Amino acid sequence: MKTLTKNNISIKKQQVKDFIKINLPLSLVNSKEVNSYFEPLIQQFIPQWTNHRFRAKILSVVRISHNVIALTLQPSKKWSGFLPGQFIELTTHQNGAAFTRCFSISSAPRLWEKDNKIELTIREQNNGKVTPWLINGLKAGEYTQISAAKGDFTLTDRPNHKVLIAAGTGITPIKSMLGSLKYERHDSSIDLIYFARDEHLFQEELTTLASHSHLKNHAKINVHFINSKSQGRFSIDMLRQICPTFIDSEFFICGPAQMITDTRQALIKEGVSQQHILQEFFSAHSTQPDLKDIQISNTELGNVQFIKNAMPTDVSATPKTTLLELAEAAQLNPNYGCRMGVCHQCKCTKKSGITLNTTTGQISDTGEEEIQLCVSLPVGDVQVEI
Amino acid sequence: MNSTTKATTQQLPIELSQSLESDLNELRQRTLSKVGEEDAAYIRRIIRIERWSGIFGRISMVLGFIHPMYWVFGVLALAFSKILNNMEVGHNVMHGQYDWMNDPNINSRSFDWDNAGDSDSWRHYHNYEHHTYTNIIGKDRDFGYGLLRLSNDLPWRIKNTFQVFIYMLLSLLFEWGVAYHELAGDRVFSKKKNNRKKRLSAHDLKRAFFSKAGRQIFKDYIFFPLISGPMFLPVLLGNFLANLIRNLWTSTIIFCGHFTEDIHTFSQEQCNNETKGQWYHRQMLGSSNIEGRKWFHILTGHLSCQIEHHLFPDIPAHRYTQMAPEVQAIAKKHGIPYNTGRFSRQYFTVLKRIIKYSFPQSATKPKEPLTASN
Repeated sequence: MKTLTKNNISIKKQQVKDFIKINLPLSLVNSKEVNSYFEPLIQQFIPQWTNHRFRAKILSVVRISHNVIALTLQPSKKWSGFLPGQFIELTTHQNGAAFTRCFSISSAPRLWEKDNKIELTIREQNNGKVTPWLINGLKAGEYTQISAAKGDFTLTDRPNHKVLIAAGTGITPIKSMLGSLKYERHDSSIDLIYFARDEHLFQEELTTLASHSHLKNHAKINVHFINSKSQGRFSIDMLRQICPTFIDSEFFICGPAQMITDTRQALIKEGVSQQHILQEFFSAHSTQPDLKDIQISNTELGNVQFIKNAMPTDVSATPKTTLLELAEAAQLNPNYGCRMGVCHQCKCTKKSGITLNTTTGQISDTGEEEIQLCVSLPVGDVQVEI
Repeated sequence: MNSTTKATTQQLPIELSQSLESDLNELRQRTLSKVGEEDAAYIRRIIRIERWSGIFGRISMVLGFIHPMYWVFGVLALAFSKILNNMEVGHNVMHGQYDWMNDPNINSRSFDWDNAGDSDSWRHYHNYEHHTYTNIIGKDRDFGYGLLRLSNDLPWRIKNTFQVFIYMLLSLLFEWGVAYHELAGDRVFSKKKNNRKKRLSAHDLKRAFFSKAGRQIFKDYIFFPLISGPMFLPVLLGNFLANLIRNLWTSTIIFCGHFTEDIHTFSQEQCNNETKGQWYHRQMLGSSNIEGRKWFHILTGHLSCQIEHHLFPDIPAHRYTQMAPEVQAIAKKHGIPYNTGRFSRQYFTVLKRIIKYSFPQSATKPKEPLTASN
C-alpha cells in the first residue's frame, strides 16, 4: 500500500515535470524548443547552425564521372557517426529555400573515426532540382546541414558468406560496407556483384580491395563487374557461376526498385530465407518523365500512398483528381478549407514523387516538400503525409 | 457614391471578370517568380529584429531601477517586438507566405505567435473563413467581430447605440477579443447552434483557448515579473502596457483594412458559384489600403496593403508595396474602385462608420451623406 502511494507520487512528479518541459518553452518563446527561438540569432554568428540538424563543413566537391560527383564533408563533432550502409539527409539551400535529399555514405566508418570525414557519391538526376545543382552550388570551405545517420541496411554479425549485389550508384552503401569488412577477419569470403550500364564507379578502388584480400587480417573479397548492357541483368545462373552454394548466404541488394524486386523474388524462389535478404531502394524515380510534357489533362496515373499517423493507405490515382479528393475518397478526413489554393489549410508534406500544381502549372521535384492538397495532382507514384 | 447600404454590390460581368482574373494571375506569377533568397533574408532579418528587441526590452525594463527611462525604453521595445511578431512575422508566416523556404521554424503549420489567440484555431477561422468569404455577411465573422454593427445588413439593436465604447474596449483588449472570437465564443460557451464545418470539437477549441491563454498569462504576468525580483510590479505593469500598445496598434490597422467608409459587403447568395475573377473582385471591394512610408508598412505587417494581401494572401507580404501600383492600374482598367488613403483619413472613416451604424437605417434617405445620420 505504501509503495503504491510512493509510486503514485513519483508518477505525479513525472507528470508535472513533463508538463513543465512541454509548456515552459511554449509559454516563454512560443515554440516547442527553446533553441528554435534562438536559431536565427545564433546563425548570425555561426552560419548554418541549426537546431534540428548537424552542421557539416564542405571539404570538396568533385566530378568523378560524367554524371557522378563525390562530396566530402566534415560533420560537426556532435554528429554521432554511422554504420556502413546507412544514409544521411543532406540539406542544401538554393535561392532561399532548403532542400533535403537522402544520400548513402560511401566511405567506411574508419574515415570518420580517423579524420572526421564522410564521403557521399551522388548521381546527378536528369531534371533534378538538387543533384545537378550540387557541383556548382556547394563551395569547399562553406557549411551545409546533415541529419543523423539513418537506415537499417547495415551489416549483421552473422558469420555467413555474404553476397553484395549493387546496380549503378547503388554501389555507394555497399562500398562503405566493403571498406568496413576488409578490416574484419572473416572465415568466409565476400562476393560483390556490381552491375553497371556504361562504367563502374570506383573500379580501381574495388579492384585494389580485392587484390588485398589475400593479406593477413583482411577479409577475402571477390569483385565481379558485370556490364548489364552486354551481360544482362541478374539471374540465378549468373549467381551460380559466381558462387555455386548460395542458399545460406546473406544478400545485400542496392539499386533501382525494379532490380531489387526482381532479384529478391528470384532468390526467394530458389529457397533463400527472406531474413537473409537486406535491401536499400535507390533512385526510386530512375525513369523520371520529361517534365515539359506533363499537363493537367494527361498526368501519369500511379499509386498514391497517404500516411496518416504513421498508417499508410494506398490509393490509385484517377484522371484530374486532386490529392485532396483522393484522400477524401479514401475516407482519411484530411484538413481542408477553401479548396481553391488560397487558405493553405490542406497543406501537407509530400514525402516523395512528383505533383502538379493546377493553379500555377508548376511541377514539383521528386523530394520532400510542402504541397497544398486541394490544387495538387499526383504524377506517377506519390507518397504524402497527411 | 456611398455603396455601403445593404449587400447590393453586383457581380462583375463575366468578360470583365475573366480579364481581371488573367491580369491578376499574371501579376501573381510574375511576382512569385521573383520570390527567393531576398525574401528569405528579409523575413529572417525581421525575425532577428523582433527577437533582439524583445530580449532587449525585457532586460531594459528590469534596469528601470537605475533610471525610469530604461523602463520606458523597455516597454516600447517589447511592444515593438510584439507588434513585429504578430504583424510582419506571425500573420504572414501563418498564411504560408514563407512555406517554400522549407524551414521548420518559419512554417505556416507550426508557427505560434506571441498572442493570446491559439494559432491553430486562428489559422482556420482567419485563413479559411475570413479570406475565402471576405465580407460575406453571415460567413465572414470578422465583419464586426460579432460585436459591432458595421452595415445595414444586420438589424439595429439598442445596444448598437453604445458600440463606440465597445469598439474602444475591443481595441484595448484586441488579442483577447480575437482569441475569444476565434472559438466562436458564443457558440462554444453557450452551446448555441453550430452551423460551421466542424474541424475541431468545442472541447478541443476550449482546451486550445485556455492552454494558450494560460501560457501567455504565465509568461507576461507571472514568470518574467517573478524572475525580476524586486522589480516585480514595474515589470508586470510594463508587460501589460506593451500588450496594450500592441493591441491598440493591431486593432487600429485591421479596422482600417476592412471597415473604412466605402467598403462593400456581400450576401451569401451573391457569392454562390463565383469564379476566381469574381472572387478577386470581391476581395478588392472588401478591402482598403493605407498609404505610408516603408517603416509604417513593416509595422502593419503590410496589412496597409490589405487589397494586395486579400488578392494574394500567400505571396511574401513585403512584395505588396511593389505590386500595389500595378493592382491599382488593373482596378482602374476594369472600373473597380481602389480604396486607399492616408492613415488619418482612413481611420477617420472607420470611426465614422462605427458611429453611423450605431443608429438605425434612415429609411427615407438611404443615400444621404453620412453626417446626416449622426
